[in-house]
Amino acid sequence: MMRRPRLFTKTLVILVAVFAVMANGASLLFGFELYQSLVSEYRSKGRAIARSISDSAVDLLLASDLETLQATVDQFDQIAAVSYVLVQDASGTPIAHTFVPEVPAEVLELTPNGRSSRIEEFEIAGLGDTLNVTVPILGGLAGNVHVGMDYGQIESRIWEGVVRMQLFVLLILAATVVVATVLVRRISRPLGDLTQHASALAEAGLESKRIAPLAPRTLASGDEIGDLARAFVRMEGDLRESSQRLQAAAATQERIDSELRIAREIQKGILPKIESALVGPVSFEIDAAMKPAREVGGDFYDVIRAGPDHYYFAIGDVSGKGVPACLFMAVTMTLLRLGAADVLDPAEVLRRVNRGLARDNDACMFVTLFLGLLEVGTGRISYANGGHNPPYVIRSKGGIETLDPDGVVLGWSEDTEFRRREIALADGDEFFLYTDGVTEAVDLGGNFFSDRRLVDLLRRLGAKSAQELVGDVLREVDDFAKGRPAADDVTVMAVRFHKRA
Amino acid sequence: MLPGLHAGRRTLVALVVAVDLMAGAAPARAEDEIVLGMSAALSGPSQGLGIELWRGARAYFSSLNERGGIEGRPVVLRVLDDGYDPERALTNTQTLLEDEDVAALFGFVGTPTTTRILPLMKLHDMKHGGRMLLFFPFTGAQPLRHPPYGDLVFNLRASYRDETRGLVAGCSEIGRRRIGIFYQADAYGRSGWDGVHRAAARHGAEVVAEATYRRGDNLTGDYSRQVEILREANADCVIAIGTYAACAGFIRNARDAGWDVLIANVSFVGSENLLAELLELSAAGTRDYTMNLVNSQVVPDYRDESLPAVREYREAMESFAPRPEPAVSGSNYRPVPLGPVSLEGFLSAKLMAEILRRADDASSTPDLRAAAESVRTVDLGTETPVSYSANDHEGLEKVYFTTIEDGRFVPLSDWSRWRK
Repeated sequence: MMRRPRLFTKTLVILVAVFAVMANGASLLFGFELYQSLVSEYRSKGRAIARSISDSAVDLLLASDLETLQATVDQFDQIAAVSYVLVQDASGTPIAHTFVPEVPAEVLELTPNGRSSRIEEFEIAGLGDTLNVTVPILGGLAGNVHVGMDYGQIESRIWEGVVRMQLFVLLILAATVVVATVLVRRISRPLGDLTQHASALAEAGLESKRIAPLAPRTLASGDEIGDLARAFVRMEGDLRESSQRLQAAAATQERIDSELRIAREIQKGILPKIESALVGPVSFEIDAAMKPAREVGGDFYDVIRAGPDHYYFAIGDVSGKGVPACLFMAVTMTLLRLGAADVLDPAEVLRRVNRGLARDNDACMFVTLFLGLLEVGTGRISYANGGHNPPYVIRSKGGIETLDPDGVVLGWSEDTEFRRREIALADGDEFFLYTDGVTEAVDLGGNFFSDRRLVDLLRRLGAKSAQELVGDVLREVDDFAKGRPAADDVTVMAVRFHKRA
Repeated sequence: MLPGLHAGRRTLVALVVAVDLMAGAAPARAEDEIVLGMSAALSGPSQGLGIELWRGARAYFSSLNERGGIEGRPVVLRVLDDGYDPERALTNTQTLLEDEDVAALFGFVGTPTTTRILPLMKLHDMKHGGRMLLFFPFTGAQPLRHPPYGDLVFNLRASYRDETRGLVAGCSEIGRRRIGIFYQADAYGRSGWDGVHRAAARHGAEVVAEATYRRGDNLTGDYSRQVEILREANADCVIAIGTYAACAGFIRNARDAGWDVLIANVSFVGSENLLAELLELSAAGTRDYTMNLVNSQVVPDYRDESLPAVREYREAMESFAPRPEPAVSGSNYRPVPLGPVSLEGFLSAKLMAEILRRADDASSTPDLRAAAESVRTVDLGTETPVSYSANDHEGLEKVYFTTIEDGRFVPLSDWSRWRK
């Protein structure tokens, strides 16, 4: 058994209340009208009866036929509304009446009104509210007739009428409630179905197989509720479909994510572990770090030992981001390591890498690459730049120098040439390399970190241990771009020279 | 409106007590019969009166018919029950006049009932010419004795005025002059009330209080309020104008209240029925309810066998002992073997036979009237002659007084035992 919806119960209760108020109002009005008409009827009836007795009493009194007078009076007393009849002679002595066991004092005290009749209301113990009509016999010379009309009867008749009407109204009300209940049930059954279905759906979820489908009669309903049910079912289907799509997509994403995580591990593995690559108790100290913008990135750095006294150090940035960049970076690093294996010339290495990249470069990707060669012991550095941001040289005596921008990106053309340059470092001087993820980091206000800010930072920091410098710069960039996802991979590398003691 | 005062029942059920013809006689042809119509209380609180009156009359007519009726014509008494209700009496009379084509009306019982039918008789007379007559109604009311209806009625019994005058005189003589009236709230009660008032003025007595009861109230009713009203007014004698059931109830309440005032009843009370009720009450309780009671009667003592009428009455009652049919009276009514009411019925029937005998044509109303008015000093055997004339339709005017001694009514000649 379905519960009656609260909405309809409320409506029903209000209906019943309105009905009850209306019915009671009508009863009140009815009772009042009835009272008015009964009172006027009683008055005219009482007057007519009293006159009639008064007229017939004349002859009987003259014939002193009290038996017949009494019989006449008795006959009038049979009228339902008549409470009593009293005939008094001229001296006021009752000569015929209908009282049992005696004429009440209240009635005996009624004084005649000379020659005219009189109507008055009063209350008699045992008889209640009474309308007394006094009519003189022969102008009062032969006596008076008093007729008492029972007002209490008016009240009881009104009550009877009102009660009957109320009963009738109650009957109608009951019938209305029954009909309304049936109607409401019929109207609300589909709505209840729908509500139940929806809440079951909400509880068990779209995927549950335990939810009964909507009843056919609900779906077939021709009214707005039917429309609602059909729309609901349509929506439910759409929702289910879209949820399935979403789940499939989530599964794919999951797979990709997991693959990317693996790729990231692989990329991490490709980048050298700088600690192990530290140049021991020699005259160079190197540190580097890469933070990819996504799972994997296109920035890279490398330190390659090229003989007992030579080390290559490199920093690069593949165009684009993510997996393609990562793959291109892997290729670039492979080519770099292969190319650097047997030459001590950075320009030549770049040429080799460029040729390797530019050949069959259908994706038209490119890479900027700075490659340096350390000569352990002398502190001389030779380098070649393939379109990468020129590194800074922080002098231990103070001052910062920028290398001139140079070269063209790798992978663009097989014939690109690179120049080899050299720079000498004093004791404590430091080489700072970075990718454009540093200068192009953006803060919440949309401002770039910028070259100027970087130069100022480096000046402030001065030459310090490579590890500290890398950490400080990364922290500073992080702080700057706080709250914003990095737009590009960020890579920093520091190379500090210590003259052998 | 006082509920219950109007009896409302207008049943047309005419319960005809079949009056069987003489046993063994050749069944008379319908046109041979002289049919008399009677309406009386055969049920209800006053049924004892109607039944006893009918029994007395029936006893006489049975013996008459056995002796050959009126010149070979049997006299048949058609009786209908009106339960002492004026409306039913009216309906019954209509039935008797229109359907039964009775020769005359006879032995109607009660004042409100009988006074109610008088206009109907007059109307019937106007329609058919010749006056329909009512013989010997069982009531002492005045309208039967005065214009405009007095000449339609022949009375045998004394009037209530005669009875009440006798009672007031009796009370006054022994110093009881403060009279209380207990009466039925209708024409009967009013008749007695009027009689008492008139007599009181003549005998230097005073009506100090009056109390009514509703017609139809019976023994089970409570009359203590009426007792109070009369007792508070210090009445030293109560004259009751009522029926035996109500009067017995009043006497019971008065005695139960410790009021042993002298209570006088008129003939209509039906003394034997009253006595039966009081004896039953006395037997049921510890009190003797038959003390200090006087009854006026309109016939002589039914035990006085020195009277020829009484001897004749007792013989007829013994021979014919008419029993009321249970269907009419209900199974609970126990007939009074002998009593003043049946004696009155007997005497009425006897005088009726005398008039029928005198009439040239018993079916002709003018002949009946002439025959009745020709009655002069006819002795029915009561040592009180009856005479009628064109101006005088009063038969007996003598009132007898009785009281209860040893559980029976005896003639009362000396009131001095209640002297004050």
